Amino acid sequence: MRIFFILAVLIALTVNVSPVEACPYCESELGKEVAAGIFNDDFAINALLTLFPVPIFLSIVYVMYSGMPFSKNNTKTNAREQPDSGTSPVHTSGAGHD
Amino acid sequence: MTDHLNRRPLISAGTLLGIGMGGFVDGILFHQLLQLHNMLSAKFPVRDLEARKLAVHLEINMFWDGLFHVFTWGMTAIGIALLWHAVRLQNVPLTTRTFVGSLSLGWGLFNLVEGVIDHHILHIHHVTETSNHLIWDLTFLGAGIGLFLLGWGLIHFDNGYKKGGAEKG
Repeated sequence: MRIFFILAVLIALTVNVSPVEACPYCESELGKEVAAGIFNDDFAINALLTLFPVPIFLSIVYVMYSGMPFSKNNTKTNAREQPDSGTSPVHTSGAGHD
Repeated sequence: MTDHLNRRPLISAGTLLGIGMGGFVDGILFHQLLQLHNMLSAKFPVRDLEARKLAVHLEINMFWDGLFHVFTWGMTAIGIALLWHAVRLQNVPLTTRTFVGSLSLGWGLFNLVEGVIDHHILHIHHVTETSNHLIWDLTFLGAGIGLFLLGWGLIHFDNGYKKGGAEKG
């Protein structure tokens, strides 16, 4: 319940407090020029251009996680292939260490 | 019960952290300290302008640099989550060489992907907005290739994990 109260307070503050109160020059001519340069018809395309590499990075890492770029021998090694390792067998239950 | 060691969770976590931290190096060192390589600096140039126009363009670039930092923060946060996932799996060997290699690999990937897409395909910015930006853009890519190869080498030639499932070196 407390989290909902905190969220409600935060939402109320966000709605009621104008962001320009935190910005010393947003009401100035220069500030308005800056805002007009950001929030215009090009906003979506500029955001798209800025964030364009994100899905590429995530795709690369997804492929790395599920396999491909590194040879199988270097990423997954059968523990039974190292009889001289002197270590205990490795459990693969997926359970956490703790 | 006994099966195999799996380095992929650690490599993918380290790579994502490397991408995020490479992005932070880019944002902090280039964008903020050296005042170049801003996100949309080809569209909103910050050279040879009168003071007012320069101030407006700097502020606009700062906004888009902020969005870029949201991205790098997000990559780092997901990287931390993946790392937490990796260390909780008992079949993931936690070797320093693989982890450091993954960080380097990620940083190299950041330079390569960001460099190719933003500098050479979209042309939304260059490392420096000067007539000889190509040499700097290629240096940026070269650094990416170097970091990528260093990371790949460290991962590929790490045999430490074969000596013990969870040894830390």
